[in-house]
Amino acid sequence: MPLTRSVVWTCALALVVFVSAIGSVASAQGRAVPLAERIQGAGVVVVATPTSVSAGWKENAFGDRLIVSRFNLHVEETLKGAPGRDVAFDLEGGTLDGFTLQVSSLPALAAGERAVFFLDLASGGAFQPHLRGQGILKLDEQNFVKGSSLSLDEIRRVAASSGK
Amino acid sequence: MMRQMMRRVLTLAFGLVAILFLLRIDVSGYVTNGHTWGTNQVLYYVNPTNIYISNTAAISAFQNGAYPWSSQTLANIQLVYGGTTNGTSLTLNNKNEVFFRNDSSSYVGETYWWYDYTGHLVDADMVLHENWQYYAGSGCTGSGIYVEDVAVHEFGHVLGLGHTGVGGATMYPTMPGACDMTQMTLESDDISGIESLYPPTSVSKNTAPTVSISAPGNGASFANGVTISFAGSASDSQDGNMTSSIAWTSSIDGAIGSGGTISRSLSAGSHVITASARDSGGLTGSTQITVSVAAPVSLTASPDGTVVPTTATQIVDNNGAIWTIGPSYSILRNGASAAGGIGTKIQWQSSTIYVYGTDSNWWQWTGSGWTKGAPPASGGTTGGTTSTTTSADGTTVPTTASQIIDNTGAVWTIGASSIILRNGAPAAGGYGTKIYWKSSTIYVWGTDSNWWQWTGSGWVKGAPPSGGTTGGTTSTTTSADGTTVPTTASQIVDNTGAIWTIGAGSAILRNGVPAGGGYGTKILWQSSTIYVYGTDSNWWQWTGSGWVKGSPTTGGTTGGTTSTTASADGTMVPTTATQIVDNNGAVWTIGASYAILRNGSPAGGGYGTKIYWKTSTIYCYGTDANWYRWTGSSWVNIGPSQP
Repeated sequence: MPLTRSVVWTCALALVVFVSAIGSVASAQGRAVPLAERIQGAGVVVVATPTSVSAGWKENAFGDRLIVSRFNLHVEETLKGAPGRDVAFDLEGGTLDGFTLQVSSLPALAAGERAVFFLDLASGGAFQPHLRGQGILKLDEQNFVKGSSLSLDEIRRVAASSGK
Repeated sequence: MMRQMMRRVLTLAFGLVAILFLLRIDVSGYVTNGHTWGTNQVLYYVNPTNIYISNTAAISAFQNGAYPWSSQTLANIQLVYGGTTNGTSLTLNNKNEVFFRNDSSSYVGETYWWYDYTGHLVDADMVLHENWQYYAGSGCTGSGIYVEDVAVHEFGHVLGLGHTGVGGATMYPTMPGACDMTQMTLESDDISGIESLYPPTSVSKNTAPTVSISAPGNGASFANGVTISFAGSASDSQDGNMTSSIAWTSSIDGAIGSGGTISRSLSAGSHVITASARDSGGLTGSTQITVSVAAPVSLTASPDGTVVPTTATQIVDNNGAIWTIGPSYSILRNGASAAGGIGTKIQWQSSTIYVYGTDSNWWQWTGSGWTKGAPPASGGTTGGTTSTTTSADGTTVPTTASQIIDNTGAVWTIGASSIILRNGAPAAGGYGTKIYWKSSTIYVWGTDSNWWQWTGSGWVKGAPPSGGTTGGTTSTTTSADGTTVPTTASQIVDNTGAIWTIGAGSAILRNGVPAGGGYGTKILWQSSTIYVYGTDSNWWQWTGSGWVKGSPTTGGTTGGTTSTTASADGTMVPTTATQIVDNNGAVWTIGASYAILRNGSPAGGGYGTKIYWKTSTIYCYGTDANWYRWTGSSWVNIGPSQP
C-alpha cells in the first residue's frame, strides 16, 4: 500500500521536533526549547557565516564585566525576518588582553563557521543569539547541525510551517 | 477498519525507520576545553543570598555539589570552599564566585571561565538563575531544581570540562528532569574526563577533612563583652575524627583558639569565623559562619546620687552595666532582668546600685542578686525625690507635691487616667484626682466625688478629719467666683462639689474624667458657671451635661483671675510655685511622669523635675540632670549648671 503524502509529512515533522528538542542544546543546563518555538521566538533567523570578529570589554546591567566578541555575519539565506546582507552580531566570550573568556551556555564561534543563527536585536543595534546557545546551530559540510541529525532542510521546513 | 489499522502500523514503522535513518546524534564522550588549573586545590566562594532557601542550606548544597569531583574520582584536583562572598557579578577578579541571580534566564545555571595566555584557568564564576525554583537536600516538587544537582554539573565546567555527548552523564548539557538528583553521581564518562585533565597521582587518593560548626548559629549577634561558645566537629576519610585539631580564626581578631569547643569574647564588628582542619596528607577542610558583636556602650559611670527615673533615664555603674526600669517595674541590667528585681526607683550611690522595691524596701545589688539594704542617708536621697522620709501632714498630690510618702515608706502618686499608684503600681483599683496625707492616713478624692481611705490593702469610704481640708487643697467648698485654672488654682470646685481640672492633652476633666469631650487651656468659675477657653479659641459654657458656646460676663476675667501676668523673675516650680506664667501668658506646670506642660500640653517632649522662670526665659531641669532653655518651640541643652 503506498503511503500518502500527508502521512510522510506527519512523521517527518514529528521527527524534526523530537530531534531538535533533544539534540540541539549546546550549552549549560537548561530547558531544551523545541525548534519551532525557537523560530517563533526569534526576531530573525538566518543562515550565515561570520566573516570577521573583534573583541572588547563590556559591562552589562548586572555589573558583569565581560569580553564580548562582535562578529560580522554574512547572510546567505533568510528564514525569518528581513535583515541586511551583513549584520553585526555580539557574543559573550572571546580573547582580549591575554585572557580568554568562555561561557558554558554559549558555543565558541570563529570566523568561517557557518551556522543557522536565531537572532534578537540588542539595545546597541547589534544582534545577539536568541536563547543564548540555543540560538546558534553550527552546520557541517552536509548541511546538518553538527552533532545531530537535524538538517538545514528540516529547519527550513519548520521555519516555513511556523510562518515567517 | 482493516485499512485504517494497517495505515497506523505502517506510519509507526516508517517513523521508527526514519528515526533510525535520520538520527546522527554525536555520542562522543567527554569534552575538555583544554585548560586546567595550575594547582590541585581550587578555592571557591559562595554568595548564598537567594529567594528560595536559607543561606546555610545554599552553602551546604554548593559544598555537596563540589564534593563528587574529588570523592568519586581519583583526579588530582579538589574544590575547596573558601567561605562566603558578596560578589554578584561575572568578572575576571581571580576569585571563583558562586551566586544566584534573580532574572528570567531560561537556563538553570551557567559558568563563565577565564584562562590566560599560558592556558591555565585563572577565574571561574557560576551563576544560578532564580527563574527556577531551587531546593536543597530534599522537598523538591513540581519543576524545582536541587542546587547541588546543577552545581555538580557547573563545577565540572569550573574544573575545565565541557559538555559531553553521552546522555545520562553529569556533563550532558541538559538535565534529566525536574527535581533530579542523578547528576550527583558521576558517570564513567565524567570520571574519565576529569581524570584526563588532572591525572591521579596514586591509586588511593587523599581527601580533605570535612568540618562543621554547630554553635553559634550563622548570623548570631552578641552584646559587647559577652563570652561566646564555639563548637564544631571535623572528620577525615583517612585520618578519622579530627575535631580536636580544629583551628578557629576570626576575620577581625585572628586566631581565637583550637579544639572542638572554645569560649571567648570578640571585639565589636561583623566576624567571619572559620573553623578549619588540616589532615596528615596536607589537605585542609574548612567552614565558616558570620557572627556580629555590638559596639561597646559608654563605660562612664553615672554621677554619684543619680536616680532613675527622677534625675536620669538610666544609670551606668562602674562595670559599665546599664540600669533601667522596664515594663511592670522590672529592674533591668543591660536590658535583661536583674535577678528578678522589681522596683520604682534605682539609685546609684557610693558605687552601689540600690533599688526601691515594690515591697517598699530598699534592696542592694550584690553583683549577682539582691540583699536588703538602704542607701546611705547622706547625699543621694536629698531633694525628696529619693527620700523615704514620711511626707508632711497635709501633703496633697498634685497641689502641694508630686508624691506622698506614707509612714511605711510607700510612695503615692497619681498615674495616667487618674489611677492611684502605690510604689508605682495600682493601689487596689483606686481612681481619684487627689491624694491627701493626713493624720498618718492616705485619703483619695475619688473620681466618683467621694473621699476614700486606704486600709492598708484596700479602700473604704471615709473623709479626712475635720480641718484636714483646709487650705483649699482638699476642700470640697465651692471655689471663689473668678477662680481660674491653671492661673489662680489647680482646680475648681463647683457648687455641686464637682472638681474641675485640666488633664493630659488639654482635656477638661470633671472629677477626673473627661467632661463632655471638652478641650481647653483654661477653666473659669464665674457666676456659678463653669467656662472653658477651648483649644479652638472660643469660650464654652458647661450646661450640666455638655457644652454650649458662651463667654463669661464682662469683667469675669478681670482681677487677675484669668490674668496672663507673667510670674516673678526667679519663680521655680515646684519649689516656689505650682506654675509659671511666662510673658506670653502661657502657663507652665509639671505633669505626670515629669512631663513639662505648657498650657496643659506637653512642651516639646520635655521631661524634668523643675521649671525655672528667669530673665523672661523658661528653663527646665531635665530628668537627665541637665538644664534646658525653651526656644519657643523646643529645648536646648545648656548643661548641668542652673541658669
